[in-house]
Amino acid sequence: MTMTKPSILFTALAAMTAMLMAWPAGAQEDGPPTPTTASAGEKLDVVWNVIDGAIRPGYSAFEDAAREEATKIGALCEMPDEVQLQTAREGFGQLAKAFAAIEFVRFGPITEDHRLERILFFPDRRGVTLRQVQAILANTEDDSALSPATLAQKSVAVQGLTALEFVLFGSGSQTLETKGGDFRCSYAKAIADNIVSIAEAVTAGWGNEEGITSRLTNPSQSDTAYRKADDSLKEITSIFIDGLEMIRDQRLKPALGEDAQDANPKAFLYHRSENALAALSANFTGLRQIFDAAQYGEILPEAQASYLPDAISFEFDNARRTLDAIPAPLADVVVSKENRDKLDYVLIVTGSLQSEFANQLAPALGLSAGFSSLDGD
Amino acid sequence: MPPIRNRLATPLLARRDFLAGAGALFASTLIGRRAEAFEDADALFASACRRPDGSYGCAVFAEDGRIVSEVALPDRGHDVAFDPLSYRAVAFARRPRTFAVVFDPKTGETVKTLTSAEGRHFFGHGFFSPDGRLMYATENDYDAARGLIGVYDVKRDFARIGEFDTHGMDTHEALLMPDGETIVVANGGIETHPDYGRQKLNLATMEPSLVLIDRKSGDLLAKHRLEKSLHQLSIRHLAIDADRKVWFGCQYEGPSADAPQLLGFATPEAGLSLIEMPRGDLARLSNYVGSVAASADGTRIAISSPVGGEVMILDATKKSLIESHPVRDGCGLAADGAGFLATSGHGLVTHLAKQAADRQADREWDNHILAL
Repeated sequence: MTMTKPSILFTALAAMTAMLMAWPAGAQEDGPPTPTTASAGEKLDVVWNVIDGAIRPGYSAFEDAAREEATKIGALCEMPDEVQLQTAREGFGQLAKAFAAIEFVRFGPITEDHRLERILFFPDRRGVTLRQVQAILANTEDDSALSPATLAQKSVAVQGLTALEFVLFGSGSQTLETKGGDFRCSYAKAIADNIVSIAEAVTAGWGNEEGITSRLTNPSQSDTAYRKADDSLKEITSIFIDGLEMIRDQRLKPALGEDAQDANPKAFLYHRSENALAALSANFTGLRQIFDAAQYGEILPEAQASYLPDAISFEFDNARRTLDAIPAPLADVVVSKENRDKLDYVLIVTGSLQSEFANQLAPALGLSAGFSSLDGD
Repeated sequence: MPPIRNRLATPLLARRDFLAGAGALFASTLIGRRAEAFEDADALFASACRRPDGSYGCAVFAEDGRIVSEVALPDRGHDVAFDPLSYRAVAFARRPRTFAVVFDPKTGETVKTLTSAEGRHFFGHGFFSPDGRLMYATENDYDAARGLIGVYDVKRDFARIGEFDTHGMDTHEALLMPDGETIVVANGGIETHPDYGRQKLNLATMEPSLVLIDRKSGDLLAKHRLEKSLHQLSIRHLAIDADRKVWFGCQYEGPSADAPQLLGFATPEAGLSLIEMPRGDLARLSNYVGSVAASADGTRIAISSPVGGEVMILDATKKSLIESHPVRDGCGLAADGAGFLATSGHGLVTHLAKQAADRQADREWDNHILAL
């Protein structure tokens, strides 16, 4: 859809959002919702739906994208030229999007061996990646960053996607079009291969019927995290509650600032490769896929089942429409007069969605975090 | 030994002592049910809370849970400090907020609202010097990700007169040792910055520590760390037992399946030691200890996990579990006579190891209780 009058559309969307926010409030005049009476088995079905319908496919897609990018970089190193570099850069965008779609799953194998931070070290408030990656590129005598095995022993900041982004897009990356960029290209290849190994370990962990899958779907008293069905359901639901909070606090607010003058375009993840918008869109797409796979409607009390999944889907659609209407790159949008309001609106939709999951869905499932345990201290 | 604070093995401020001081005047001015609550109370406690209308406050309550006084807070608070000499209490903001409210626990009247120094925010804990002249608060120099103890001169209207480096980041709870001169600090090791809300920024590289510093000079006296494989075990809450062992409770930021021990103690001779809790008991803590308290006689240690919904009492000498109680969202703990008082985020005030009725308050209690 081409948008000629964004302000009118946004006003309309804002009004619809406001209506939607008012709707459940009206349905809950009698105080907090009566939590679901769904059985443990039914709740664990939702957990299983997410594992098999979204988490496993999400990580598989990420692994595939990593493997493809490693192949593309391999081809670039072998026959460096402008076209191969362009192909490798496009592959990076695909890889960043594939990870963005599944990155808010922050439990299970991704938490072992610092895998999450090794794939994505962000936010990087002190610019550690830039400093350390430049140091590696400046010292071509030291080849310890050129093999995935030795790279894996180094700082998380030089192993992951933001390191690869600098190598492929940062200053000096044009040398990758020539044999003069051999060292840089070998480092890029090592990063991609290392990401492939990490992705393989994560998909293997989720594919294994023991381990995390068994822990989540067969909760046990001796488990430190999943002792009953509600614990597993809460973990799954935390993907949305925490993920949307991360979008707000890590991906949007630091870059948006108070206004266009106060904006900090470099605070966007992947601003260097101009993949910030693509990754942000993939964040929402991934969350939507996980939500659709869950089929929460099956276990929500009737009062909520009749509107809440639709209300959440409606907000996801709002986010999608708004993001589709934003021109890339975000670094320009955030300082522009005419388009910045769209990003402000994404922030509002993120907040609405977060509130629907945290303040409506979770209580209806009987999962409200207590005041003391919420966001612990 | 001078009175220090609730997590130390010191006698509680009994009602009759309170009455002997300024409390007598106070009691005579109380009206109705609050006066009754005060009259019946053997001990008083304070805790930050959320009120039924969604606003935040810090309530002073009797051991039966009846509220005696309450001060409004501009936002969510965390822990409370109390100086028995001046009868002043201070409610600290929960990170990353920047206020600390000095109030009179007798009336709930605000004496002064402190704002943290430029580039700093409060981490939520603090204490007074034994002579009541200085107040110390845990703080974050957030641009440098550097933990601090801010030092405030009580007589100069709580002017901030200095700060001590805590040689770590995420300085959470700090207590004064029984010598009255040494500050023991729990550096949680987790980097946060107000620009990123409460997001944890350094889970791969965190380095928690337990540090001893001189309260007058700020000199580093000792720094203890856990073994490297436990670098994601955040040391956050403290209590001191009768043998002057410093007990520390942790929250684990690594993979949940690791299930590391969460409670340990520090001694000058041996540094840090984790106790060995059986797996079944450990599992109930859900990788998270939210507060630690010593009994009045210092022979027992209580720990709570609001995430696991469990409160446990351990023998401080044998280092073994005595009893365990399920308390949904239970976190606040304080010595209460021969037992412990515990509070929950759902408003419960309950007694452990002591026969007394529970009470349900219309407050959501925050993570900590101070025994006045």
